[in-house]
Amino acid sequence: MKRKLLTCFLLVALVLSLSFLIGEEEDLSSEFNIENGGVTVDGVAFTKVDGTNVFSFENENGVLEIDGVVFENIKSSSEAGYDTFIKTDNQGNILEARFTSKGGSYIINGVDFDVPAESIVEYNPEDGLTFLDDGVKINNIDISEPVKITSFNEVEILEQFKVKGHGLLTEEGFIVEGGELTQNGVRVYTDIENPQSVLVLDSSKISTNYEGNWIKQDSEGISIKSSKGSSINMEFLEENKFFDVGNREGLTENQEREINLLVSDGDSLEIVQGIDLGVEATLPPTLNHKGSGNTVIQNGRHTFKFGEGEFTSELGNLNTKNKASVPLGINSELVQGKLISMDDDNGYLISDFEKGTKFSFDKSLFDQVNYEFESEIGKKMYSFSADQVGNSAYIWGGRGDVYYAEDYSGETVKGIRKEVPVEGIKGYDCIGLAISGLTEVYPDSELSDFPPNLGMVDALESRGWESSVVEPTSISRFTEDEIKKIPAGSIVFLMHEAEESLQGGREGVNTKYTTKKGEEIYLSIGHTLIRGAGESNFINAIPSYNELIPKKAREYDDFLISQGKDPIFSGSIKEGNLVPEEDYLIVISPPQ
Amino acid sequence: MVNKRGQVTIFIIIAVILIATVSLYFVFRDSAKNNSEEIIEITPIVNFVQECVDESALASVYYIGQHGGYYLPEVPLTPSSVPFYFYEGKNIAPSKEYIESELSEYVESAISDCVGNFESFEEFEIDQGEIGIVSKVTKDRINFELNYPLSIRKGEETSRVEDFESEVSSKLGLLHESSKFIVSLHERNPNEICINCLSEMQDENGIEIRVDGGEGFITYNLIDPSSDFENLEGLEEGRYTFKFAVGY
Repeated sequence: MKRKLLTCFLLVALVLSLSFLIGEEEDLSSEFNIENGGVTVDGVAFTKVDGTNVFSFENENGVLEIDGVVFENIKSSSEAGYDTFIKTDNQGNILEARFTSKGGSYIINGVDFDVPAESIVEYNPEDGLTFLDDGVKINNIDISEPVKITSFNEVEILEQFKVKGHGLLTEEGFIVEGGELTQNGVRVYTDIENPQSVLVLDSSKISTNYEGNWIKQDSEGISIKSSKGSSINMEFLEENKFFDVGNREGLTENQEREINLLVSDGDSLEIVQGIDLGVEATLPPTLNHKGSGNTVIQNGRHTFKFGEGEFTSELGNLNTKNKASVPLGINSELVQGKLISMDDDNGYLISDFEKGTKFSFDKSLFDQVNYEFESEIGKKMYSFSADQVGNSAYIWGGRGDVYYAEDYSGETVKGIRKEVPVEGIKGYDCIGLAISGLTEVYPDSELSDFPPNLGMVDALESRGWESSVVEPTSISRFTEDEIKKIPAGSIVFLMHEAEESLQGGREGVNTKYTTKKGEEIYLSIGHTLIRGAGESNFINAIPSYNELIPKKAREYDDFLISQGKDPIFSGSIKEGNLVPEEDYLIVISPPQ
Repeated sequence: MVNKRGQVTIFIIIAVILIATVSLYFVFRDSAKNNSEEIIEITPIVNFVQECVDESALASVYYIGQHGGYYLPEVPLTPSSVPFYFYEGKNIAPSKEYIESELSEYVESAISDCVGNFESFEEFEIDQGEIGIVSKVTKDRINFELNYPLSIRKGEETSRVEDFESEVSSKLGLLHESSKFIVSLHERNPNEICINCLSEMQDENGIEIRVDGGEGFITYNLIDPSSDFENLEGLEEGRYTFKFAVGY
């Protein structure tokens, strides 16, 4: 008897389920506080779990309509490979959703958006709307509360914001909380280590009472207001309407115009559009600075800073040599009655409104180097390395026009030689920069004449170079002075103290050293550098530092990434200061 | 009555003598400032030397400005030979007194070149003593006091002159003061230009600043816009310029 009852129950349950699954459109309004016809399903399973309504897309062409909002072109769970569903309360408000679209338009809690096929859409109260794929557009909003948006790729919002990251979509605009937002070519981004919220106003809004950081952009200008203890980062892309970043007139191949702003701690900045004077003449835009917080205007090689009652200009170094400025004017309460006018070649003037020009900065002589070279070979080595800064990029195994990679396609790993794929761009790894420089200094030599390890010391000593060791600050009081004395163009191995057990590893990488205090230690090569012209400056090819990768190399990397491949150019050639605390330096100085 | 008239006459005579003496003093003060054992016509020589002194003084002020206060610098220089005032984190700017001594050295050398061997005055036998120069730089002028002993002989007659003076109107002192202020700013922040600090200083001192430079250094050109050095070759628009460099 029990078995018969159980069989009957299962049959009833099966019939009920089938009626939901393959039946015609079914009105579920009675389950909701919505008028008849307000909730219908067609090929979508409906269950109620703990008072929550769950719609599961178990059919290939399931359609769900809630209060006039249609959810269709959604992959079934079997197609998607995971449970595709929408959960609502009894008012039809969506509580949670997860589905892969076949391409279509949807409205979730007042946010109306289009997604292309294969896009995954997720929604939950904690993370808001999450878009995992590219090509999403939010077309309209009808919201009473801010909606959290998270996107792993760029989402276009209301035809004016492009957001990649996370933040709050509000009636006033979009509050960036992490990642970046671009509005008309102006990129607003947050600091990864110290993210700050910034409201970027919808351009149709006139003003805001928002107390945090905000930015308002229209055709006449941009208003930027920071709040105490907080900051706004902005970069101007080529398509921005204010600064002529894309103008390549007078630039060398790898030079780029660059302007970035950081407004913080209560400062405000107003960018006023330049005036068209007619006859192909336009006054550049003006930046009006106010406040006693901190503002940084990085334009070309210059970094103008407002803070602590001072207005300063930080001087660029070798790393900024390929940065060109955009014309603009700067006004500030800190220099009342004066205008700072920046030209397109890193020069600027400060003019008194009544008395005319009082201060000028001309960067045209930047090719001079403040260094007396004692060695012609050292000068050539330095010049070679300095030329690579901003013009070449880091490539594993890079030796200029070629690089050495490992081929795993066969049974055994083979070393292969490949051409650097971008014309005009050379690639180096740290020791490759030194070796390639040496082949320039000694034109009759070949790459193989200079071993990529400590064997280089012997190779160079046979050519008259001299080697020495600089001990770190942890054991020597003279490290800084000894570094100052290293002639520019010297090749320097940065050596880590190693365990004795490392001895016998890769040939030429480790060595035994007796410190000046008589202690016997083992050292292992960590990095290779070329001594620069400043007090403790070194030039090096450094991986994972992308800021100085030339534009053409960046574009090639982007192309590779778009093809699903790993980028080739994985770092920059840059100058930096080094006074090692724990590491030793093996210095090979050029002959005088 | 007669006595009284006699007394008046004596007073008148004394007064005339006094007036004549004072007048003669003023008339001959400039030309007879230098000792003359015998009266010979040395005015052309004195004028020639004075011209050399004036020209040398003017040239020294110009040259010293162009070379950051140095005549023969023994300090680090930029590739354009501008002396560093701030180098490897240290303030190595010359003091005002050092600049004064450099001016003196320049003038001494320039005067020797200028007068040569008094070739234009063949009829005279002229012996030159050692030149001693004291230069004094103030904010808007430079005074040169020279002790330049010359013994001028013509036939049996000998005259001696030795003291000369010259004054150059220039804001060298003010520009040097301004350079000290700028270096103090770099001591605080080596790789920054404090724009509002310079701006305030410029307003106060009425000077212009032109900055150029190279990798790792900048050169300051402090300009006195009110100066007029048009008679010296190579001077941009006749404006006096004081140059120095700052390493960073």
